[in-house]
Amino acid sequence: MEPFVSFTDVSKYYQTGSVRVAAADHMTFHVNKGEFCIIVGPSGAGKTTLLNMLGGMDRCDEGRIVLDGAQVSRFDEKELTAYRRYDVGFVFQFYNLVQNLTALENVELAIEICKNPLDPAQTLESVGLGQRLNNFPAQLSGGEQQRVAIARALAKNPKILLCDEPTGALDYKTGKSVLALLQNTCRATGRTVIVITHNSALTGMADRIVQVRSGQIISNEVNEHPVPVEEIEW
Amino acid sequence: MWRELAANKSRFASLFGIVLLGVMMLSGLLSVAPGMRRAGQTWYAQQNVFDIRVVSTLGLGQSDIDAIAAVEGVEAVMPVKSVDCEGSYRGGSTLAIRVQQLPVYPTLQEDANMNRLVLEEGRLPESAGECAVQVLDQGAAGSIRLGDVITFSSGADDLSTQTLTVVGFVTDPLYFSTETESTTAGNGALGLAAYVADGSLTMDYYTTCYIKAAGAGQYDNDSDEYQNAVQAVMDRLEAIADTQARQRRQDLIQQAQDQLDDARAEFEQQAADAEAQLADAQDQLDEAKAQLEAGEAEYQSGTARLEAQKAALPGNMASGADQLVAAQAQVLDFEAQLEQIKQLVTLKGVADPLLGYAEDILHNAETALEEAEPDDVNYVELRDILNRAQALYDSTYQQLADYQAQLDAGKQQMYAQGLISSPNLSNEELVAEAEAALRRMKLQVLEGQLALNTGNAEAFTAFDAAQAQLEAARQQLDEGWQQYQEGAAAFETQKAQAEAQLADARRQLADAEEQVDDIASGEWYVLDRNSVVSIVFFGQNADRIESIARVFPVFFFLVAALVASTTMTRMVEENRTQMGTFKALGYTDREITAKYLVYGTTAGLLGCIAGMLLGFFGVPSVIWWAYSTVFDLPTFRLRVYPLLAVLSVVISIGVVGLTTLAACRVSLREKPAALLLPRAPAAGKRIFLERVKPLWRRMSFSQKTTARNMFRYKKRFYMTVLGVAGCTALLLIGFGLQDSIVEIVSRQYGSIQKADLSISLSSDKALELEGGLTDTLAARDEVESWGAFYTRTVTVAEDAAGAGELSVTLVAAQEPQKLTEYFTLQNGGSPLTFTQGSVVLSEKTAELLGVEAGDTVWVQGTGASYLPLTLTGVTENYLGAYLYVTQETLEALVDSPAWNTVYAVTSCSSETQRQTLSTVLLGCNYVSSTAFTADSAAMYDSTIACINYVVLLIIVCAAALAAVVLYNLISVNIGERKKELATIKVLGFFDKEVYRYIFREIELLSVIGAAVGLAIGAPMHQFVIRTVESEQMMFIRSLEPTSFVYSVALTLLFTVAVCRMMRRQVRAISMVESMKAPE
Repeated sequence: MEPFVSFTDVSKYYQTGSVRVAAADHMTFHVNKGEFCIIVGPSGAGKTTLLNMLGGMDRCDEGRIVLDGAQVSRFDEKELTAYRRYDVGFVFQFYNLVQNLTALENVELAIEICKNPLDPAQTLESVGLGQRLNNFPAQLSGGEQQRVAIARALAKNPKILLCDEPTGALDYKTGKSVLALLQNTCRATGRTVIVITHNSALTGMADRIVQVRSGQIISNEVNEHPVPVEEIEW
Repeated sequence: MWRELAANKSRFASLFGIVLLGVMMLSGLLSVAPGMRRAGQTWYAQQNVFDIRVVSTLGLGQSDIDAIAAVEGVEAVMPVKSVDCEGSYRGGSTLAIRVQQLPVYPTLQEDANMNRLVLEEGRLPESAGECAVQVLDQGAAGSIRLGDVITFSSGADDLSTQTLTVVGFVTDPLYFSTETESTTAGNGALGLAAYVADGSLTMDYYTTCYIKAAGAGQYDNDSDEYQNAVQAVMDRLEAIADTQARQRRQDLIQQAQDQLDDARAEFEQQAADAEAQLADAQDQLDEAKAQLEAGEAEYQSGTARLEAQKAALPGNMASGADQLVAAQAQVLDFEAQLEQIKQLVTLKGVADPLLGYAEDILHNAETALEEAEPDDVNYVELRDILNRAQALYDSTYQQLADYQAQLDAGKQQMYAQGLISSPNLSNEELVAEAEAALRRMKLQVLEGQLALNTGNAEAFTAFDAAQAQLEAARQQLDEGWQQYQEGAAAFETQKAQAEAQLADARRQLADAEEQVDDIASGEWYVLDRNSVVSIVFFGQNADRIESIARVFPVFFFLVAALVASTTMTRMVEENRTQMGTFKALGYTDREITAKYLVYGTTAGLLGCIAGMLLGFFGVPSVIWWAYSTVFDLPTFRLRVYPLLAVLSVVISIGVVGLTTLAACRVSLREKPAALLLPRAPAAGKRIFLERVKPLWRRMSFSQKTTARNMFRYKKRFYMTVLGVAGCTALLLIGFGLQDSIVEIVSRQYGSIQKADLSISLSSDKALELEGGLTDTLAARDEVESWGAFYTRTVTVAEDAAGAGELSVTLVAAQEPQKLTEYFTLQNGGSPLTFTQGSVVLSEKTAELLGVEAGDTVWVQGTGASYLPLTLTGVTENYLGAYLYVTQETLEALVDSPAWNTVYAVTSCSSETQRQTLSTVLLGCNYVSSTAFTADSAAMYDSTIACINYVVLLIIVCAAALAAVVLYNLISVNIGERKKELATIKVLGFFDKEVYRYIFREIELLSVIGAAVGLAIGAPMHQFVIRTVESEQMMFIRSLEPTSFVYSVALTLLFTVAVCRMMRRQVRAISMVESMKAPE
């Protein structure tokens, strides 16, 4: 069976003056459907580049990126947009909510353009914000905002959920609960979730751990015994 | 630092652009009018244009000139002779030419040589018969060349030569606009000014005296100081005006009286001569008549005589013949008598013996008887015999005695007739003598016969001769009569002629006398430079530009300043993190502020410099270029106005600097840590719209977003809306100016004033003269209708004391219906009624006086005091100011008004037709000028064309500002929302959807801005228009719907265009932005 997500010899270069830097250097890895995958590595290792390419925000220079049988690396701009639109759900480090939309509306904003979205109110309820539907982001705490962001990503009913340092701007406790939410979502809906973090302590909760360093994949392991996030300490 | 500049290139550019446009508008428009004025001033100074001129209806004598020169403050005088006449060149059509005599040394650089000509080509005239010309009407005289000969057809009596050869082209400093100079010659508009050498004009008076006022030259033409200096001298000249005019009048009257007396004496002499001659002629005629009559009488008597002779002649002949016949008969009688006598003599001779015999018988018988007895038978017989013998005897005796008696009687008769010598002739002698007498008689009869025949022939010859003589005499007489008749007829004709001539002369004398009396109305006009058409026209245009420039550039500059300041404010606010970093790094507030200040002021200063370059040089060049079709002033110079420049720099740098400073201070007041943290995002808020549930529910999601977004960032909202509104308002003002100005001419002369020709009369006699204006107007096919009017400039005021007095033209019609026929009286589109007692005032005047229909205005007519009139209406009017009244009201206002204007509607459509009609009408007596509205419309058109350029410039600049402002606003807007847009993109919005997401908001803002712009633009336009208006000119206040459409359309067009341009920028937003921490 072909893996749900696969990177094959994917490279990405940045030209700075006369120096060509490889942000992604022949990355090869795969993630299976329904897995909770954590991509871990230090700052500047190429995690974000990887996420950008996987999320259809950036294109690779070499190699092949496949998601659910579709060769993302061959998409043109328009196809990439459609890909982001229908197949990918994003959760940002800084939530990136539209400030003057309520929680509900922020979700609605995303699903407005989707084919078969989930009910926004229910989704918000499922992330524990049933009471705060009509609150503006400024009226919500960081964790709550991130929950709205997750709800926004989920409601699109994407094939894959990509989270960029989702706990980066949150305190320990809130971060934990957000991660729990993501893990539970993965478990409950069988959706593939990829979380990018520099915090290797989190790897314990993942089904698959991909380690990145200096633009290269240094390991791609399956964690046979993931533990619930509540049990992880960092 | 400079990297900052490079990084914010577009912001820098738009800041630069906004300041540039604002400063350009301010410095450009504000410098045009001063530039024009300065050009005028330079020109007036350089050509030594007069300060004051005095003209008199009586001309100016040398004593007047001397008196003027003696007035205090009169620095120099230049008396000038000029005359307006008609002439043509190269056989072309006739045009009106002003011939002016130059001073002896026309190029002399001294005060007294005023209005110095600029020699353009050729040379100045040096001798009589030469002239230098200036073409005043290109259409009429544009083709004149050097060497052309101008031939005068009328009015050139005072010119020493009837032709002038063009030897040069000049520019008179008084004629530098295309505005027509009016004249009473020809068609009423000067085509050419011709300057002739000194001595070429022969009249003994001056037409104009040009004066330099002492101390006025050091001031600017438009300054109050100049006006005061000139006014002071003018007042002094006015003071002597009456005396001089009276003196001049006296002189003229004296002169005219002398001439008149001479003329009268001559007339008397001639009249006497003529009468004497006539009397002589009469005498001669009478004499001739007497002679003729004598001749006639003679002739008559001759004829009578002849007739008598003729009549007598047949009488003579008859009597001659009768005499002859009688003589013949006498002869015959005599012959018969003679025969009788002869018989008698014979008988006697016979009878005598018988008697004797008888006697014997008797005797015998008697004796026998005596012897015989009575009884004897014989006896008886005897007795019988005896008896018978006796009887016989007796009878014989008796017979014999008879015979003798008869003979004696015959003898006596004949003797008595002288036929015989003696009555006692014997019978024989008698017979002999009688026979001799008979012979003589017969001879006489023969002679008589002969004489009779001869006499007849002679008489008839004499008759014929007499008849011929008579006929000759008749013919002579007839000829004589004919001559006499002819002579008499000729005499009558001559007499009539002489009488007519005399009557004529007498009338001329009377006229001359009347003229001498008329000299009484002589008047001086003391005029300043404002009496020169070109100078006034130029000044008005400068004023108009100034009045447009007074308000508009300020608005423009304010909008620019507003946008520039918000740009800087936003920039500072956006850079708070950076400022925090700098602050954290230990930079002082001052240093950080300085950085932004330098950035802002650099952009502002550069914009300022570029704006001033364009403003001081570009804008005036463009506007002056437009004006160069109207004015020919070589003295216009582009120059920098330091005050304006400093002001521009100070204001623009000040505005940018102060706002930057203020923004920096607000930001820097916070702690560096707080600065480093992203500013708390403005909280989302429910907006009013959400309360309107039905509407809100129906709105699509992105519409809701847009709506909330717009109201969320109030500052951004206001900034965008105000910026856009400002531009729309500027555009609206620009288009509105066009609406207001361009249309007034066609409104005024199309729909308000229907008459296209006005004729000024010097006397209402023009209308009464046989074969005068009335008949001429009736005879001209192109005159469709006309009416007599009274027009006069009067003063209206708010109260009896004359507060707020304004000049208006009083108009009244001879036939009341003509007034409403020729002047559309309406207010707000509904016509006003004009009936008995109506008083209608034009709108602008009513507005300035603050009166409406029903209010009272005070009018000063010819009387000294103001009379109250109740307005019955206020009428739409754009050019000029009018007060329409009825004839009754007119008579109350003006002392014995006489119709002085004729308005007419004509079918003249071409210049040629108009000129032809003008020429004909000016030929009528008492017609002083004619004016076609087409010509005044053309004059306004030329001005308006220039203003239109200014307005176009304004529109273009407003459009440019709109473009820059929109670019700036949109790029700021996008810059601020990069992260949001990146997120949206990451969420999988297609480019189009992203554009819609962001641009819909901007477009909506633009629409709102445009709407607000219209809302504030309309009153601003009103304000500008009212500022530009003068007392005598009202602009169209209403804006055309198209102007609203254009302003909004342009604004939206720019919005859409800029949005389209910005798409690239939006597309270029990297999705990676979304990963960044909020700023």
